[in-house]
Amino acid sequence: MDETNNEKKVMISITNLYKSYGEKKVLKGLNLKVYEGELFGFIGRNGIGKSTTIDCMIGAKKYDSGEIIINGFDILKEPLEAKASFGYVASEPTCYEVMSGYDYLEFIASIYNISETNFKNNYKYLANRLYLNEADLFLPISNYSHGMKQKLCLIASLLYNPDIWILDEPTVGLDIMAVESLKKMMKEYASHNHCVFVTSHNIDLMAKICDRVAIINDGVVVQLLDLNKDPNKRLQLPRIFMNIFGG
Amino acid sequence: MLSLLAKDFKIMFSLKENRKKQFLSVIFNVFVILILIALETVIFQMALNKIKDYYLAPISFLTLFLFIVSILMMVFMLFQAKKLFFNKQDIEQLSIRPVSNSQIIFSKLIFLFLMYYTTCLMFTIPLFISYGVTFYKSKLYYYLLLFYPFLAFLFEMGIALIFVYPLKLLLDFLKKHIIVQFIVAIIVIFACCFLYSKVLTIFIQLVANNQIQSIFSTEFINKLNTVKKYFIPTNFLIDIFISHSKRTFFFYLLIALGVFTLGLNVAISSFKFFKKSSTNAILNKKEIRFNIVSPTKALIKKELMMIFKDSNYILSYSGLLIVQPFLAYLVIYALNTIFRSGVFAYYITLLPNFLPLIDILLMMLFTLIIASGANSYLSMEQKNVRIMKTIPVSLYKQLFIKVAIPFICSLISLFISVIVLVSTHVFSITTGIFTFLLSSLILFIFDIVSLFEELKIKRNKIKNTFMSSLYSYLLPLVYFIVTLLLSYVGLSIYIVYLLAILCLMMLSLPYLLHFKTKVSDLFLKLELVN
Repeated sequence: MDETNNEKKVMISITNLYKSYGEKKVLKGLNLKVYEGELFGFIGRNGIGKSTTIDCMIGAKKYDSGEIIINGFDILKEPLEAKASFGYVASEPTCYEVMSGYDYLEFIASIYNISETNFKNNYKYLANRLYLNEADLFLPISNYSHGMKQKLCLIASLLYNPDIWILDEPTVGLDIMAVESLKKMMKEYASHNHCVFVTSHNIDLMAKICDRVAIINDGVVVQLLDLNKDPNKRLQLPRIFMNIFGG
Repeated sequence: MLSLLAKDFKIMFSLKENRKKQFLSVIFNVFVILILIALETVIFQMALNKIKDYYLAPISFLTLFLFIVSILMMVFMLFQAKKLFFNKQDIEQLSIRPVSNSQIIFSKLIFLFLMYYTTCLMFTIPLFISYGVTFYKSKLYYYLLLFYPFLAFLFEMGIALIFVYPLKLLLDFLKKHIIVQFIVAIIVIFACCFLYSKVLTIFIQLVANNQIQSIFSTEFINKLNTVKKYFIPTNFLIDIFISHSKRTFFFYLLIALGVFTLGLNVAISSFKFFKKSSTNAILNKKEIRFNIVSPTKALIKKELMMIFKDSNYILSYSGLLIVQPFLAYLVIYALNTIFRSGVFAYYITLLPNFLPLIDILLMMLFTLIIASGANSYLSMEQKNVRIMKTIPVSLYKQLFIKVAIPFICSLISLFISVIVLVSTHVFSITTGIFTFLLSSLILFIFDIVSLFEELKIKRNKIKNTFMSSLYSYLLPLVYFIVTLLLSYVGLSIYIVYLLAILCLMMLSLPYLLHFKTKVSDLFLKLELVN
């Protein structure tokens, strides 16, 4: 099922991942490898375990068994090193509403030990790319719309230039310009020797931008498609998806 | 102009909440104001009845009362002016509307005047009426009183306007420097405690010991007659409205107009400068100061923001933390007075060390009840607990900071309370030391127990607070009963205290021993809104 790519560094490696909530088994030996320079899509229908997989990857949830290696670091044994190497955007914006947008970015910059110069350059560049008005960064986050919060979270996740960018439904609530820009940013990011791991319900979007796509069903990866090697799969992806889930 | 006034009215009275809340808030505010006016008038009338036969004493007392009102009005108007003139969002909105600076300033001044006139009328007229009724003043006297706020406004608003920009700079400075802010808060609390104790002493002398004559001694009244000339601007206004002195009227008008003009110039210049710099700040971000700190400092800053910026915490925790020294003093002093008088005095002789032990119990309860307002370490994060889980900072460090910040805040408040109680001789030094030690220990246990409760929260389930409730209410009571019994059987109070400390330390041990093994597992299993 899994394809090897000996030339490139493995950025995310998930081996035999099992996770259950009480009696309900969600992940049943999931295996996955994501390589450097890759924009990797992870799709499946609602409640199938996409977010659970991501939660286990980022160290937000405990898993029953298996191994998750992020940028060479085991998420359980070396969590701090692993966490320092990824930027994560949740499906629901998570940021402190008592802070202003700028305060929040400053908080993230401090946590990841970014230099002032890098911080200044990065936040300006990212705010500009995502069409977030710089003046809005000085307003309390509680005044932000859902889309503005999402943009802020996207900026925060890239502020420290992580090796891996993990996005869970990143386009929800974003305006069309921001979605277009985000698509470009994901592609660019992956092409600069990083890796992007993204989940979305927007199959068309995934078909357009991803290098490879994994489809999860019944707790395992049931299809792994290399969209670069077989460009026809880009067009066929919605049909493949529907076939798997019986649409 | 009317639209600008309406907008300022909305800013000052925050007309955002629902109508029911607004109505309740108005009722509450009116009630508080009526209580204050009644209290002020009753105290003034009581004093006036006692001293009305002394030469010049009534006028001096009226001057003193009006001077206090005048000082409070100046402080009140200072903060109102600051809120009106230096509101960033307001300026941002106005800068893109077709209104001139002079229109904005004029509307704000009208608003300030209306506010001043109403407040001044409410708090000064009852005093004048009380004075007028006592000394059978003519109708003209009462009619002229309507102009009192006009004249007082010129001077008092002038002073407020002179200091409004320095106040803004000071508050901005404090906002940026949390440690300085905290030190200033402590100094203010100390000053308030001192003033409060003085007022309470006078009040007890007046009401409890019936020693009113000792306060209104001839020496005191003579001193008041001498110093009243320094009560500016009230002494001038009294001359104008009581003695109807035309010379003083023109002299005062000259000074008041001068002060008002100066204040107005300062306010206009600073408003224009602020407006310009606000606009520049939006357009030119090069001037922003970057403040990247270490991860530990960033986490501390975040916790302080969450505790002190969240309105829920300001009402339930931070507010109580600040008033704890007052409340503790008020309650413990009153209870000690009750226990030392009448039939209670006899009963407590049967129970040795009853008073210090119950005092410690009360301080423990105070500390724990206030601390329970900030023990939602993780639930206050809500879905942001995901940020905690994904940032590359040790979980133990994050949790330590989460618990340590409110713990230290509570500890400082407890320390200040104990200092107040010892310095006002409510506590002996020994009781003070052991109060601090025992309350700190019980606070520590409570915080650790609360952390475990927080870590065990499951999604969509109510937090189980059984253990923390047990520790916050039952444990202090158990402490009190056991120490009282030990003391009753003749054990030295020092041994009783040390035994209590030892027992509390033993109680915290199981939590500390299992901390490292359990916490990491619980944290990963933690499912708040995530």
